[in-house]
Amino acid sequence: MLCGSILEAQPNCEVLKDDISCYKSCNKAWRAIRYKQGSFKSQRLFDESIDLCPSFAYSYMEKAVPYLKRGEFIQWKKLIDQAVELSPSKYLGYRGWCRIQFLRDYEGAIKDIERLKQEVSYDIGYCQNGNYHLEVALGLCYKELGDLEKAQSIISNHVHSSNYSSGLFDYYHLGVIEYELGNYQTAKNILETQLENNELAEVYYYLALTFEKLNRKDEYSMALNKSEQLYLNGNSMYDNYTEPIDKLYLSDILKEKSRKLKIDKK
Amino acid sequence: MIAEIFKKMKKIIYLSILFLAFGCQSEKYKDVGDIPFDPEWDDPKFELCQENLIKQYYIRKSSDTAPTYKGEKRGLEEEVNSKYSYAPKEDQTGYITIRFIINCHGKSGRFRIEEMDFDLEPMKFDVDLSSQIMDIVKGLKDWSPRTKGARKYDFYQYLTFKIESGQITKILP
Repeated sequence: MLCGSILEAQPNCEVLKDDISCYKSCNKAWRAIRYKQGSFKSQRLFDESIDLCPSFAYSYMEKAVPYLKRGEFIQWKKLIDQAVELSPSKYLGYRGWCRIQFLRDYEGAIKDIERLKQEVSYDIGYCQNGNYHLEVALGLCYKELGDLEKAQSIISNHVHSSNYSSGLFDYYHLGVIEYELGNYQTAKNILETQLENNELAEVYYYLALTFEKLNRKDEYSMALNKSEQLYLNGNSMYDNYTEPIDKLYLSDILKEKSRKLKIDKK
Repeated sequence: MIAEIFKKMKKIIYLSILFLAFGCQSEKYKDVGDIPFDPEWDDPKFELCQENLIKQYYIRKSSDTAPTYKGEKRGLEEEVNSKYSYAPKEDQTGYITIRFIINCHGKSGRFRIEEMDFDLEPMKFDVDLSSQIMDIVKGLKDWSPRTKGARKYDFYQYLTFKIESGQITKILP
């Protein structure tokens, strides 16, 4: 999931025209993003941009991105912390999401997103890739920390809010949570809602598990077969950078099939 | 005989100067994430197909086949978990990241380690733990490189181990 370079693809330098140094700094950043991300030239231009205007948060954030993507997290953190300090309303949500995506640091992400909610009076917005509203990301943190009730409450409230705009996987995650809470009929309904948006191997996998709990054996088998077929056709959760939350693999599906086979043979 | 030895020595000195000059230059002007060869740490037998064309694991065209591990992420997790053993110890908590290169033949080398706490501040794990992680990563033999048609490419990869009380709780990315 691209969690950085489209955060603020191009800074608007015109608003900085009254401050010559910061205006020049902004133009340096403009030049920096035209080079390959993380290249020596690009990083050097960000350094020059920061030297010209040490309060220009954008350059810290952009300079940090390649460190994040390439696994140099100590360097990333130093830079992104500076960006957050200079412009918390702009970068808290971004840092929070990156903590989830790249580090599975759910406690840190909760702190960032909650702080953002206190900082701003407007909608806290989406993760950079647009896949998740940050409210859903918050719910996912609680899910991964094992607080399923809180996760369910946060995500459910969000998807039922008046100005809700459907995220790519919101109903899938909510369906998984309902399944794990033992609310199988609700899980089935929610997973089927997800299928109206996009057919994924993962959704059919959990739908199969749900059918099994509801004693609907034929539908269980059909859903599991469909899950396998979708996976083999490439219709599963995927991200260039990191493993998505609740991502499943072919071996998970095959393991479930073989488990069921063993039970049926007994 | 002496002239021949002198000639050979001249050649070695020339090559060493060339290597040092090139080595220093590539270190100075390297991109984020680059891992230049370091004779102190790296196996000189580890060869790359194209030293100047090593892509990051996430960079490829949609028509390329993504680099992967045998059995996908689960295969990698199972292999790591089957080899890793460390008694629970509360202060052994944080992240260990190992960055490395996988060449076009699926072999790995040039390993670099970074250890940090959950605030991403540098820290040192027990050597028994960190060296075990390093050895396990070095022992992962079933990588498949990025491919484009019949052509295979070298690529940079990293693995981050989230460690809580000495136990691996997540392997990233």
